[in-house]
Amino acid sequence: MLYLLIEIYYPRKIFAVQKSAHDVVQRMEIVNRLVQFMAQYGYQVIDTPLIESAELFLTKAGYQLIDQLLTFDRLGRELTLRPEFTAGALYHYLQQYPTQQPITRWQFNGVIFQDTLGNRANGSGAHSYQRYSVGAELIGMDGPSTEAEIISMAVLGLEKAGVPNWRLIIGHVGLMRHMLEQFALDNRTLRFLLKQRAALKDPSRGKAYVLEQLDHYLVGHGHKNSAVDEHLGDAISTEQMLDVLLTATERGATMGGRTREEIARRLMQKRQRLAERSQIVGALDFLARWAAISAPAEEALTALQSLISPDDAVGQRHLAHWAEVLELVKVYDVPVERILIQPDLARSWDYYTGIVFEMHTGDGQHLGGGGRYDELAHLIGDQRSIPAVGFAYYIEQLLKATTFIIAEKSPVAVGITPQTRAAGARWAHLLRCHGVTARLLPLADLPGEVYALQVQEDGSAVLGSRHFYIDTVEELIAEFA
Amino acid sequence: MTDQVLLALPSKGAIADPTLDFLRDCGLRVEKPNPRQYIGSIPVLPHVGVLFQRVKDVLYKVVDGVAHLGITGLDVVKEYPNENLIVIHDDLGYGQCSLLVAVPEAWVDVESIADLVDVALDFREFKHRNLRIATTYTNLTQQFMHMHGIHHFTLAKAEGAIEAAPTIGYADVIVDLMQTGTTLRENHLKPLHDGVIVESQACLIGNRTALRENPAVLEAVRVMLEFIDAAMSGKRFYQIAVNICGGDAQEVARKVANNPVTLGLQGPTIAPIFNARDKNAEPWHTVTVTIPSKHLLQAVEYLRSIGGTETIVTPVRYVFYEESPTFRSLLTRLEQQG
Repeated sequence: MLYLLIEIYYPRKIFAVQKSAHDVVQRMEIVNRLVQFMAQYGYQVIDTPLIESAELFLTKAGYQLIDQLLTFDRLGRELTLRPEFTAGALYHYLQQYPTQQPITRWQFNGVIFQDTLGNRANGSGAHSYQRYSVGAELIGMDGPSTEAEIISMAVLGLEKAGVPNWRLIIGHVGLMRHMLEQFALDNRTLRFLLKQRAALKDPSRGKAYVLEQLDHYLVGHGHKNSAVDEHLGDAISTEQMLDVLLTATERGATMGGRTREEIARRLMQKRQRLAERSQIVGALDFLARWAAISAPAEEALTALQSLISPDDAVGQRHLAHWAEVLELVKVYDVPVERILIQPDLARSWDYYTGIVFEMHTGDGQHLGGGGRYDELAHLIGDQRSIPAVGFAYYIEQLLKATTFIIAEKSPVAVGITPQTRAAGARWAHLLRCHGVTARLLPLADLPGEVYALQVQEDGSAVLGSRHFYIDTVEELIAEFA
Repeated sequence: MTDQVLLALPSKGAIADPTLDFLRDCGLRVEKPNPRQYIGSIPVLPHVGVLFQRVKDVLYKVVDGVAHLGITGLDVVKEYPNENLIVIHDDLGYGQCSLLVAVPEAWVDVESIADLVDVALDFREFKHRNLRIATTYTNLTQQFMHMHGIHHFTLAKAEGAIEAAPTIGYADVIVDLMQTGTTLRENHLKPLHDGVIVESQACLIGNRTALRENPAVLEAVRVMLEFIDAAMSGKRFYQIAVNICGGDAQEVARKVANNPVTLGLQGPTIAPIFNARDKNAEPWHTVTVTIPSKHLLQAVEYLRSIGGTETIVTPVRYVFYEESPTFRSLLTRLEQQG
C-alpha cells in the first residue's frame, strides 16, 4: 500500500497523517463532484491564503474555537494557519470591492487547520491538525432565497457525494438573541446564558446546575470585594465608588493599564448584575422553553409563534423570514421529513446573525453546516453591513458516510530488462494513450502484480500465456476493457 | 557507551543552594572544586559527574541527553514538557512555590479568575487592545488562560523583574512564581485565590532514552534513590531509647506495644539492664523503638506512664526498606511506557 506522509513537527515528535493513494483518489472524486455541483449554481472556485493574520480570526471566532487556532509569531506579527474559509473569503471580497457590493457566489476547497485541545489533553497519539473542507459563500445578496439556495445546495450536494441518509437541523441565532434582548441583559451575561444551553438540556445537570453556575458567575466564586464592601453600604453612586477607590488605590500607583473610573464602572456593573439576578433567572427560564423545541417545521413554527408576542415586530419578522426560507427549500425537492427545527442551534463560530443549519448522518455524525453572517464585515473592520450566507462540509466525515466507492483498479506492470527498455517504454506509452494505467518495473519485480506484461527482446510482450505485438496493440487493450 | 553519568544541578536561583543542602543531608555530598567552574563530583557516586547549569538549562541538558539526570523545578518541567523527559521524583520536599496570576492591588473589583475574564473582555471592548500578561511561563500561561475562557491576551515575554511590569507599564497583570508573597506586595500586586497554575517544588528528572538504554544511568539513579528515599523516610522518624523498671521482658514489650504510637516499625526491642551493684534489685529493661516524628511527645508521655525514665531521642538518618519505592515506581513506568 502506498502512503502519502504529511509530517507536522510537534515537540520532537512526528505526526504522520496517513492516507492511502486510494483514499486520496476517493476524496478527490467526491470533492470534484461537489465542485461541479456547486458550479451549476454559479459558484466560482476561489482560494484563500493558508497563512493569515491571527487578528482576522481572533475578532470573530467563538470562544470555543479561539484556542484551537494554530498561531505563530513571525517578526512580531501574530499569524495563524487558516482555521476555515469564511473570514478569508469575506476579507478578499472587501478588498476587491471597497465601494461596491456585487452579488458574488464563491466556492472553496482545501485544508484547514485546528488544534483540538481534547486530543492533546487525552494524549491521543493520532493527533491530526488538519482537515479538508469544501464549502460556499453567497455574498452581497439578501432575502430568504439566499438561505434557501445555500441550504438546498448543501444537502443536495450530500446526495451527489453519495450520502443519502442525511438529516438537516435548522436554527435561528438572530431570533434567539432578539428574544433574549427583552430581558435587557448585558452582552457578558447574554453570552454566559447562551453557553449554558447544553447544560440545560442535559438531565444530569439541568436548571439547578445552571443556577449554581450563575451564582458562581455573579459573585466570582463567592468572594466579595472585601476592599470595597467594608466601605460601601447599599446605596452606591459613581461618586461614592470613586471616593472609595481613591482610598483603595492609594497603596500604589500600579494600575495595570486601567483607570480608577474603569475600575469603578466595573464594580458598579458587578453589583448591578447581582441585583439583576431575578431577571437573569427569567431569561434562563425562557431559554429552557426555547431550547426544548425540537420538531418538524410546521410543529416547531407553531410552538415558536406561541413564544413570540404578536406586538414584537422584529420577532415576527424573523419568524416570517424563517417560514419563507423553509417553504423555498421545499421548492428544491428537499424532503421535509428530513428537516428538524431546533431554534437554539448555534454554530461554533460566533459571527452568525440569522438562520444557521447543520447536516448530520442518520446516526448523528456531523457532516457540516453554515448560516447567515451579515455582521462579519463589521467585525473584520469594514464599515459596511454585507449580507452573506455560507456553509462548509467536513470532508473527512463525509468520506466515512459516503456509499460511493471508487473501484480500485490495478495498473498494468510493464516488466523490462536493460535490453527491453525502449520496447517497454513504447508498450507503456501506447497503453496510456488508450487510457490504461501502466507503470514500468524491472522484470524481476513483476511477480505479485495483477497485470504483469513481460516485454521480450524481439519487442513483443507476454501477458499470462498470450503473446501480443506492437502493431496489434488493440488486442492487448481489449484485455483491460 | 561511557559509564560516566552526568547529573545537572542548578547553579543559581532559589533552589541552587537548597539542592546542595538536600543532597548533603541525603548523604550525597557534592564537591565543587572551584566556585567559578561548572563541574563537580559526588564522592559516594564515583561514576557520577556533576554539571552546574541554570534551572532552565538543567532541563534542556537532560532533554538533549548531554546530562542524564538533573534536579530542577516542577514549574520548569511543566512549562517545557518533553517526551524524552521523565520525572523520577516529584516531591523532594524543598523549593516550594506557586506559579500564579497576580493583578494590581488597585484592581479592587478583581478577586478571581472569573473577574479577570470580564476585565479581559473590557480591554477588548473599551480599549480595543488585549490584556497584557508579563511572564516567562508562556506555555503554561497560554493554556491556563484559554482553559478559563480568557482568549484575548498578549504575552509580554520577560526574563526578570516580572513583578515590576505593571508598574513600568508594559503589562497589566503578571504570571510568576510566588514563595512568600512579599515581592508581590512590595510591587503592589495581589495573587488571585484561584489563579494558581502550578504548585511547584524541586524534582529529580532523567533522560528517558538514557534510563532505558544505559545501565550505568539506571544504576546511578538506583543508588541515588536509595539514599534519597532512605533519608527522606528517616526525617519522618525518631528513635527512642528508654529505661523501664519492673516486670519481665514480655510484660514490658506488651505494655509498649499496647499503644500504636510506640509500636515501632515492627515492634519494640527490649534489652535487659545488668545491675552490677544490686543483684536483687527490681529488673530494668531498655526499650528501643522507632516512632513517627509527629508523635514524639505523645510517645514520650506514654512511655513515662508505663514506668519509663531517662528517655533518649535521636534523629533517624536513614530508613532503608527492602528496596527504594521510588526506584520501583520508576522501573514500572519505564516498562509501561515501552
